[in-house]
Amino acid sequence: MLFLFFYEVIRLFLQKSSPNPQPYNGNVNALFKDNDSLVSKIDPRARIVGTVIFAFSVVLSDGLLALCLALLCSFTMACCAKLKLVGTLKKMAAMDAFMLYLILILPFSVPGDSFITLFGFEGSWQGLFKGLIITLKANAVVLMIFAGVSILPANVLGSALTSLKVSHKLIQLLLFTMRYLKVIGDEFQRLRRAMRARAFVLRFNWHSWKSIGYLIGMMIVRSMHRSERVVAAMKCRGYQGQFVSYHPLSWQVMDFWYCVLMSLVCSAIITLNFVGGL
Amino acid sequence: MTSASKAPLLEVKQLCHQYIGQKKILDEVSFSIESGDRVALVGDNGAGKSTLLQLIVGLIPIQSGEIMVQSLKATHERDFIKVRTMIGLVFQDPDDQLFCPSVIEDVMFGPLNQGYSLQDAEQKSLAILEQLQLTHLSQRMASDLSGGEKRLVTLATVLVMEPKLLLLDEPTNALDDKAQQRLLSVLRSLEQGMIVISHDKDFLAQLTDRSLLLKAGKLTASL
Repeated sequence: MLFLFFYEVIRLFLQKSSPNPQPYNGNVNALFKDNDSLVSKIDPRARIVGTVIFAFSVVLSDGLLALCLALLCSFTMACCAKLKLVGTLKKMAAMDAFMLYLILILPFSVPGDSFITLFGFEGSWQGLFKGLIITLKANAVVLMIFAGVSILPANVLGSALTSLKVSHKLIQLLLFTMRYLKVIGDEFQRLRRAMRARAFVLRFNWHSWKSIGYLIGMMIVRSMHRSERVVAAMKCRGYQGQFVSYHPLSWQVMDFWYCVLMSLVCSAIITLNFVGGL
Repeated sequence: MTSASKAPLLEVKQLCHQYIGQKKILDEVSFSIESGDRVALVGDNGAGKSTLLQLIVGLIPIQSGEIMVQSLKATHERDFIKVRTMIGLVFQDPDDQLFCPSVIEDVMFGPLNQGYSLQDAEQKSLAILEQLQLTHLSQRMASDLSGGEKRLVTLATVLVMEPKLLLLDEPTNALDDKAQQRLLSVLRSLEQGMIVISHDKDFLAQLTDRSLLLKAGKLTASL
């Protein structure tokens, strides 16, 4: 889940670099605005904490009814966040393709009442059910992350995590990953092109594996050197080991009600696990 | 006049440096820079030009010798923290220097570290972007900019801290003629003193007043 979270945040970050960005209008608050949706008015801290609690209550749930409610909540949240339909669906589809494998494989690996026999292997209803449950969980959590957290601009995310007392090192790792992923990716492409220019073709042989090993090794060495230069450049501009957190955060009445609402939703999801027998 | 303003802006005395297992790259290097001086630093690849610049701002620990900035003797990291607000180093590769999601934030990074409030940092950053005619780039992401734009933005990120001396490490690297001309006119309009490393003789001739040659560890004045 954590991986998906980072992956999505990074991807969204890269998407933000649209070819025609809005000119800076001289208002500092404009730097920190995501979009004009209802969700964007809620304090980023409340959104992060709400999403984490929601994710935990969903991951720990196993009832079909509870998970359907969770998905419904995520969907509502996504609507409130005015997520772009096509973009979001594409990302969900990428994840659900992976989930499809689970649904195909789990019936054959979970013991239970068989409903299909393929090449002598028996597929069980219980396995299929388990696959569906996992798919529902994943979709509910990821949609909630899209709606709640991933539309946050990088600097706001950093400031909010700082005020939530998340370790500075982790925040810096996250922010730097966002910034330098493209640089590292470009470097990989450059090295890869240079290899191809010398007639390298990836084949299933020792030479190929060794060369790719060298490529990855060189990437690590270069990244390390680059990180040293980046820190040096930051020091030159007065950096002393801590980011100045500058996004103005203000807690409002609305944020309180948002937290109450999220708590109620999470309680409802957890409670639904124990009623109805599903 | 106070004694501080009489002292040279930067004075380097008998600075030596040696990387492990190699010959001395800097051997008793001494020179001084007055405010407003524009000096070229030339020498072969690997002669130690970049090392010298990094020593001046304390990115590499001093092995022996002295660095004095406005009569402040810099030896420890805490001295160099002050030095770095007076001397701005512009790196060879802009991608090393620009790390924020947007240009405006990158420019604001320095002033915020200097302790300016958010509003003041923003004002200063906008002013410097305006001065360099880069206002239209303020919301862009560093990795989307062209080489020439990146170079000017790195210059802005350093200038916004109001340094008295600029250290430029191969500023014309990978710039086309047009971008080079623009950079040249921007640099010529600045009042700050500067030490410029470059292999481009024309560029140096148009920008600097005198030059220092680094060869086999020794620094000599050259014409």
